[in-house]
Amino acid sequence: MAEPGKIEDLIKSHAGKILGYLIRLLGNFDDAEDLHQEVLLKALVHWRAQGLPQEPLAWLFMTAKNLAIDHLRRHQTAEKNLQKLQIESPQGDELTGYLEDDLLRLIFTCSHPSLNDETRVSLTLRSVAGLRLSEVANAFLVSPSTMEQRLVRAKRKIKLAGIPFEIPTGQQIAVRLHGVLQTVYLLFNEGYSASSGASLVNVSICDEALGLGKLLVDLFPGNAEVLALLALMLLQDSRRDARSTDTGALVLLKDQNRTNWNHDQIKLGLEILDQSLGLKQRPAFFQLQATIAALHAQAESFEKTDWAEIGLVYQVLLKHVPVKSDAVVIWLNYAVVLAMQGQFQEGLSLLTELQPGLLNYHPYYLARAELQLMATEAGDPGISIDTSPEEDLEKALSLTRNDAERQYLQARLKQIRQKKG
Amino acid sequence: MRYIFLIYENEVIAAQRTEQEQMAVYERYFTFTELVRSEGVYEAGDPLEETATSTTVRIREGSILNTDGPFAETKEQLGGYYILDCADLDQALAYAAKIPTAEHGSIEVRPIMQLPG
Repeated sequence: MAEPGKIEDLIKSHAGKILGYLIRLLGNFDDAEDLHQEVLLKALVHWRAQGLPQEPLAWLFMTAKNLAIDHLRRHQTAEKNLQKLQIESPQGDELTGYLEDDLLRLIFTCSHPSLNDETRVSLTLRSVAGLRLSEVANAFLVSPSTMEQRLVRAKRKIKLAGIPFEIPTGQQIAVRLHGVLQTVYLLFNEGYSASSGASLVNVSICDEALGLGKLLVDLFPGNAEVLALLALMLLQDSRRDARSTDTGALVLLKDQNRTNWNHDQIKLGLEILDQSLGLKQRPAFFQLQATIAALHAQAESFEKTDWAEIGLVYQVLLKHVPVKSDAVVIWLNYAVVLAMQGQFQEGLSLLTELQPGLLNYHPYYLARAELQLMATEAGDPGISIDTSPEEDLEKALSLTRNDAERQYLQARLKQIRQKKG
Repeated sequence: MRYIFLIYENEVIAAQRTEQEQMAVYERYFTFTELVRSEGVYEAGDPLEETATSTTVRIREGSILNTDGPFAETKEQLGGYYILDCADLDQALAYAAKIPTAEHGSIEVRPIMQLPG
């Protein structure tokens, strides 16, 4: 008998391929999901009782195919169309490629530009990564019924708006692939800085995003942006343990104990980024982000960080997202980088300019408080900001919904007030 | 699948175009219409007069209320439409990107509901 945990992992790793295949055969998500559940359940029962088949993927494929044919017969699909489906019985390596195409169709559909960010991430977690409904709901701290409604609305839109279940072609593919990478990165960020809840990092969501990143590298070998996204996530995630205290409070980059970073993972991230850069494709969004992350990861200390180099990469990155409203968070980071190079006036005036787009974004107020404090400490008056650093920190405190961040902000506020006496 | 392409732009800005500029816009729309006709997806399409010419009708408590102008104050106004029969949303979005007004206004792409029977 095979281990139950191993069986479940194996089933989950193939879930997206089988679901993709069923959606293509049946032409809609709802019927495909029903049959998909049936296939997975059969696998669970059979494999637990009789052990793993020689070729689990082929087993899942045949089971899915037979169920689909039964389903289509029951719904009176013409025999002619059925025969067309039955002919296709790829074997071995051919089968893997065959099903990977269906997985790609699924991935592109779930990240279609006509779906909003939240929907894309939820659909991808559920359909591509094969998480249970309750797990997806947990990831976003909503009830399973709320998540179910969100997914039902998404599938309704896919059907009614005529979103095709296809791999984009031609010029479209680069744009659409970027959309897929964005979905995975959104997912990673949701795990990395949980927008609400008790702990700062939702480890399992980060792991799902990393898993999807690796999957995309397998599916798009030799694509610099796909490699760069994986490198970026590995480099960010390497700081996971250093980002909070034992009591769960947030620790900012400047205060982190760098020996607690995962140096093996940094090494891997840097290697993958090198592979990406080695492809000599035109530098694009994720490669530039990963380059910035790499410069941070390689710095001995916060003070010894190569801020000038980071500033230059930001300037190139910002050219890729010329519309300020699309990239306000990147501009915000750039303002901090300017200050780190001693350019307090430039940093603070950029912050003032950015404020309308970041009114409810608490890191904005934290950054402005810190920049004001740094400017004062360096004897540079900077530009005058209407609110004091303490007021900015209080504003940040009122906006965050994450306990780890709240703890940090309270401690920082206390520290500043004590200093002032 | 049939889609309606609702073309929105700021009509105040549009009204400031010189005659020559306006002719150039018509020319581009003419080319687009030719394209969708030749590709066999065209069903209908028209420009609309400015919103100042419109009247909104509502019936409240049994009385007909006719009011001047469009329903809501918005930055962009409906200025025209197309109805095209496309294979799927991706094809529809590709056509939407070719509508001249997409460059400064916006194009809403809505599937037309299929009524049973």
